[in-house]
Amino acid sequence: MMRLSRFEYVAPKSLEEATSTLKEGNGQARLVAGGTDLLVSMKQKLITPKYLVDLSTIPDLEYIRYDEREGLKIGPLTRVRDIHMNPVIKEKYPALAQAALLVARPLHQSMATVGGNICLDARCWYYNQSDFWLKSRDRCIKLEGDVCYIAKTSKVCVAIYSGDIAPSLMAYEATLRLSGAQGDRVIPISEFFTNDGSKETIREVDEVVSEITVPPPVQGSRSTYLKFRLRGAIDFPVVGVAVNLIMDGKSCRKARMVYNAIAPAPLRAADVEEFLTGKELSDQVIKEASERAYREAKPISDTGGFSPVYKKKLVRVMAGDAIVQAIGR
Amino acid sequence: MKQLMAFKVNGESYEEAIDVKRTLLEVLREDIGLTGTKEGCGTGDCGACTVLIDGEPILSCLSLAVRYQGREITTIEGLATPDMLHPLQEAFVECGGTQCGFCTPGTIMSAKALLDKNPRPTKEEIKWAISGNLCRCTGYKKIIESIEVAAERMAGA
Repeated sequence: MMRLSRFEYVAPKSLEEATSTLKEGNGQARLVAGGTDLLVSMKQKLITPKYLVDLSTIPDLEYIRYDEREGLKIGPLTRVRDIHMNPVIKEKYPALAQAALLVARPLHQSMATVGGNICLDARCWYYNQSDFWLKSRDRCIKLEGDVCYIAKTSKVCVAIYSGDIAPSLMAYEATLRLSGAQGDRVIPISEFFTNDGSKETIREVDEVVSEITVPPPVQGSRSTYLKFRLRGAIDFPVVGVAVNLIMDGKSCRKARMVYNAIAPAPLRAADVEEFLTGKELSDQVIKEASERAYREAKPISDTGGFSPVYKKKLVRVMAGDAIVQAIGR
Repeated sequence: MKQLMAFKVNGESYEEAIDVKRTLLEVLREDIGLTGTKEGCGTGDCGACTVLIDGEPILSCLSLAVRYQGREITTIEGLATPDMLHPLQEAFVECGGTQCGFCTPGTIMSAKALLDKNPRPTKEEIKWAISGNLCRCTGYKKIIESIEVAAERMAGA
């Protein structure tokens, strides 16, 4: 039986209590929301917190509210399942609903939370093992060693980010509210990620993602999220692509595309976005966009061991498919 | 660090001081003695540990027991009555949906959650509902058939 190591369990009744516990814990306290990611790492003994701060005991963190002026506000403890079952989200933010539906499988979706999925721990095929297995080699950069087994010459951890929900949120230009002991700050979700696998987000040790805001849908928005994975369920993405195209008839006024699972962060496809802007999305344009995606993406190998070359080819196919699916061809 | 917990399992009330580090799977198997729920992987990847909380299927190997204060938990042992198997159990036996039986409790719990909400599921809906329950023996065809047969019987009754 895989068992957890000892910890002190804290059940805060407010965000203030949670953030002050995190601050006092000074890196030894971890948040638990759904637990479907953290508990795996705890069982592998990769993460062994002294204090476990349970967010689910704080009231009013689980909600989905929509307002035509303010857009969508989602509480961080909202279950992934509730996202894809919500009719407003299905209608107005289809890429978000699709992403939620593609997270793992139903069993995870009923436990996993939006906040937790956004803050998903980056993994690679080396790190995603038990502590016992890892003892057979020198520790990697993410585990405070100094070698990387994925990118041999890298001085920075390149473990892959695999959360399915963040790319869609980035495509919709969502913002996150981070609440800490010092107060709150609101940042665009695209600035949340560091592209460093050992510390994937800018969240400080005492901060909690306390709300996700998605702006009201723009007229002409066509969006989708595609995920390629080895099996039909359960797996992390090998490659994911989120796209949000603001269309003016056949012409694309503004484009947002995000690559997922090719790096320690979801990445904006800046070159493809610029290329698509102002263009009519003919077959030729879509083909050219796919080629640009292929050139732009520099994927890293992942937990499944798919090679960077293969993932690059996948990006080319999926970028094109995402555009086609979004505009409904 | 222990917490006093009170919850119901298969209709029976339990009260126990539980160490906060124990998962629901550990408590069900080791404290209450209900070994029908299995540990296939311990990391939430196989679904053998599936139980129902207030009718909703969850992975008990990734669930901290202390979070289930006051909840109603249903395990595979809660399905049959002293006289009769649950239609799902009967169907699995008759249709060959179970070979070694290790994945069966988890799969049946996922199926039960589906049929309780959706008594006439399509094949796709069945596949979706059990997509988290891995089976190394059957190839899934007989599992899906068993659930279809059980659904027919349960809807007909």
